[in-house]
Amino acid sequence: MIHLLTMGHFTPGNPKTAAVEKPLDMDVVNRLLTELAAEDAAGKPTLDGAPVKLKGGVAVVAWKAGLHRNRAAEEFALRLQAETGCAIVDREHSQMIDPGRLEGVGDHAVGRSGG
Amino acid sequence: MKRKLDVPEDPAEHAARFSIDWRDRMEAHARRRLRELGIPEDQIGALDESFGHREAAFHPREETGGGISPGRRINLNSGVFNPDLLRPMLGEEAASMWERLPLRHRMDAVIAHEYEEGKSGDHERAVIDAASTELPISERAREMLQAIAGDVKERSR
Repeated sequence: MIHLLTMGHFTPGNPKTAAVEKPLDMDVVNRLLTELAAEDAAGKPTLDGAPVKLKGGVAVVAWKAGLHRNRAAEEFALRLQAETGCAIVDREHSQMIDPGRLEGVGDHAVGRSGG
Repeated sequence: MKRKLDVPEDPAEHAARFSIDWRDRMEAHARRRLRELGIPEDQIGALDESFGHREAAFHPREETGGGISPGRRINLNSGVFNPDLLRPMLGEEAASMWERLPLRHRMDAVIAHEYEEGKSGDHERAVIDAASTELPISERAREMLQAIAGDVKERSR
């Protein structure tokens, strides 16, 4: 119904059933979130208002709901993939996401203004 | 002495915990509704890596409402219990309609969306097509899907 972007290092095969091969580099994750994310009332990072969940060595954020796409989440995924070589997957829909499918925000500002 | 309830603040996590506790009942409920709506038997359920790679129509640890897997196999998940599933991505009209929608209509809406996404292979197309799906879903589910498809107008104003 909605789609999530999950970034991580996975074993080969169907992303829905793949295991985490190694955890993401949290130094890179945290730096990118400092650059791109806002914070909710509890101080947790959000991208376009959607919470970023860091658990089990992967990062997860809402991507698509209805006809809305979370471009800030795409930007985070693209930068994280470029810096760490991680995979970008839509686990619940068994899809590897080619970075070419993601637009990100380009030159538009994100972070606090991206909510 | 009163025992303090351990209820997660995150509605998605709360929904997932509830779903894990009640996964067997939800598995039967989801499988039955998929059949009633005419989903072919070989498209009901997908592998759930969280529970021993079993083939299941309900995946309690997933949080998206539902999903589609190779072979156009449909599963529902804990997102059907999350009142905030569409927040903050969609506008308040669609998000609050989902919040008030009873479970059986939420399930119908998710099944129709995933069914149409399986046909077209495209989420955005499925958002549009699900609102007029040929599946015999409930009227309230159809209204929900129409509200989701129309949400772009609210955002583009």
